[in-house]
Amino acid sequence: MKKLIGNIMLTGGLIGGAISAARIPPMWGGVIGSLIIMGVGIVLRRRGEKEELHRATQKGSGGIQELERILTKAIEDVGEIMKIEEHNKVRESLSKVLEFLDGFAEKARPLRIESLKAYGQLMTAFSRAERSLNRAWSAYADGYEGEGRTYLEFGYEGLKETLNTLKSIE
Amino acid sequence: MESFRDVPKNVASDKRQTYREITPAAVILGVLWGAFMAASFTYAGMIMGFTSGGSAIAAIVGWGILRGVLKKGTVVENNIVQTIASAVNISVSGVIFTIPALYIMGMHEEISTLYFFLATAAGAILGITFIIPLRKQMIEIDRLKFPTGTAVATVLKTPGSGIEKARLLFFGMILSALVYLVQQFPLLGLPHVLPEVINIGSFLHLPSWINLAMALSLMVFGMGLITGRNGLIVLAGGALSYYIITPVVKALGWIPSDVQGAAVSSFVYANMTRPLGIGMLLGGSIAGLILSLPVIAVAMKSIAQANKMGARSRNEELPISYLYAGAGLAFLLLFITAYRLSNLGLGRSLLTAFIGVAWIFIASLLVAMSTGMTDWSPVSGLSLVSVMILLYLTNKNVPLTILLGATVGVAISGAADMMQDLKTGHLVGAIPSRQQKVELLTAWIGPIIALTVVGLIWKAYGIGNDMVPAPQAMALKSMVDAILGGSVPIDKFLAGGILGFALSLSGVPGLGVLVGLSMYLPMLYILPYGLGCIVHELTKKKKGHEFITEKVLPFAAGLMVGEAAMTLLFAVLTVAGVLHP
Repeated sequence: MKKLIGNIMLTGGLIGGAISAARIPPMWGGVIGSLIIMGVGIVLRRRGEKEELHRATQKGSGGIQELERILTKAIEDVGEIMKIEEHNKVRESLSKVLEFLDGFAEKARPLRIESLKAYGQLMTAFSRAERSLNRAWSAYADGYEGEGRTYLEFGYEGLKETLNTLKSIE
Repeated sequence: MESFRDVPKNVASDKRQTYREITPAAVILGVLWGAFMAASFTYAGMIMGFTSGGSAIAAIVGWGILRGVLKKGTVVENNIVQTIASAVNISVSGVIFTIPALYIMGMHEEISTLYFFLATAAGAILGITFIIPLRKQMIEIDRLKFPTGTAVATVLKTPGSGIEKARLLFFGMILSALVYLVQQFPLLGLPHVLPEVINIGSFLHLPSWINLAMALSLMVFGMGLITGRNGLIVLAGGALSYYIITPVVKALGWIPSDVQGAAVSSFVYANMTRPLGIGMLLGGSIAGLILSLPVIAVAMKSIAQANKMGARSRNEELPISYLYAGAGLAFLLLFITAYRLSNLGLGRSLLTAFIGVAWIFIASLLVAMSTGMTDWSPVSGLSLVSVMILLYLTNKNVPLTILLGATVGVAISGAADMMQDLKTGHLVGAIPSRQQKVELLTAWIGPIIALTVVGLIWKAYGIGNDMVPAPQAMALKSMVDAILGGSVPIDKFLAGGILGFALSLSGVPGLGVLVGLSMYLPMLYILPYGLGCIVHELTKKKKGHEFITEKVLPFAAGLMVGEAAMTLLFAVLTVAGVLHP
């Protein structure tokens, strides 16, 4: 509810501010009044977002637990892929893992509200792992199995490192 | 017979071979194709007013030559081809927006050609070095989409992605190329069958002051299809600008009485909402920079740590020392240029160089953020602000201002292009430092080509006439005249800046920049773009994320590539004298 009210106030403030500023010359009184409304909206919005994140974490339906589940499954899947010999099969399975991991970044975004620094550390580790898996995919697609296997291992280790980073944030 | 999709035969069985990435073939092909595009787009840009990065076309040409002819191309090797080609080509827009203005004003002889080259080449290198810490922040941490970069990655991965994705990509390409071709029939002496713009407002019998026209561009629609949610904010902002602010200011009588009919919307856009949008873009990006400082610090720390560990770590980042060297070099070059080409004195020249470097960093950040979130690059708005700052710093020395403006223009176009290329690199698993190094080694070639073509055009036809109208340079000349005449809406920039700053504190990443962009862009392009975003979101809701990745993305990439390929073809036909726009 707080987030909704915050959004409404932010939008209302923006419309008022933009109209006041559009006049030649701008109506500074209107701009300042609108900024105050926007400011209250921003505070409410941010508080509402924080509460939503805490609720999701308590329910176990979102937040860090969900991210942990995604990473654990991806680590298991990549572990399985590393046992496969046939390179076309590796590439197909890897495509599925990469698509599955696509959702990780969006689900991790709310962590920004808690700590931008922690979010930055988590995404740095995750992106490094993801890029390694992307390189493995390309190498397998090109028939360079040695390079593919090396980067598959880098990706596997990178995902484990991301999981450890996530646990340290928790 | 080997097909396009097959793994090259000579590598498939050899497990020990080094993975081909930076190879002589990739570098030579990238430079040659980039030079070809740069020459074509310089000429076409001065006649028709448009340019293009050309990454996707370079990727397709790369596949054709590396795998089709040489039979040994890899995904990451072709990524190097498109990285170099677009790096060489991208400086064209920065050059043709600024340097021809000096010719039009008859001031080109006041500056030695060497300074032209130094200023633009410095810009090309600066744009690349300034985004070293931004790669981690925008691509790895903030996960911005960079629709063109995503589309190019789709093209690069097509041979290994299966026949279904390849079909969708080619279907999109052919569809958008055909639509563009049919729209250009009058240029070929054929009947005008399909317009480039449809006026929905007149179909709906809306009053003429309500602007509801839409560009029929499948490329822009494709950009929206890839962007998704962020683009909806741009659409909402556009609706605020055109369908809320315009009627309200009209109803309140804030428009001069002699402005009537369709001119109302243009007046509000040019004098009210566009300057506000530019202010919002600046305020939003400055707030974004402040808010992102912890993330940038994490990024820089991670790069520095990796460098310290040296061989013990798998370091794939360009050392941060390149950033410091780039900033130092930029400062030095701007200082020498300002000191030698004017009578500003030591102190003022130092100040010009210092503020110039800081501005290039902020402008590069803004343009990278903007292209990352939406694919739109607000280069003309930033040029206006650049010219304003530089005219003040250089005591209204116009030739020096335009020359330094060229440095800024080339730097910000280069920054945006490099970020798109690095996004492509991330998606195909390229090593970032390799991409950045080849860009640094080749980006200076583009300005030489563009400056040479501009000089040749001047000698052959002149510039700023019916033959070579140079619309972007004429626009810059108008900007300079407006600033010198004192008609710059600084109060609008300020008010917009405050609103943009506040919006960026909302917790929605980049909101100030997105809303600013929506007020800065004409509705003509916001509508097809927004439509693409709506289709993306509805499809995602109905069919899921996987459908977007498997079906929508390759089709959208095709739509972007098809029209881009046709613009290059028309540029080449113009250079060859087949077309006379």
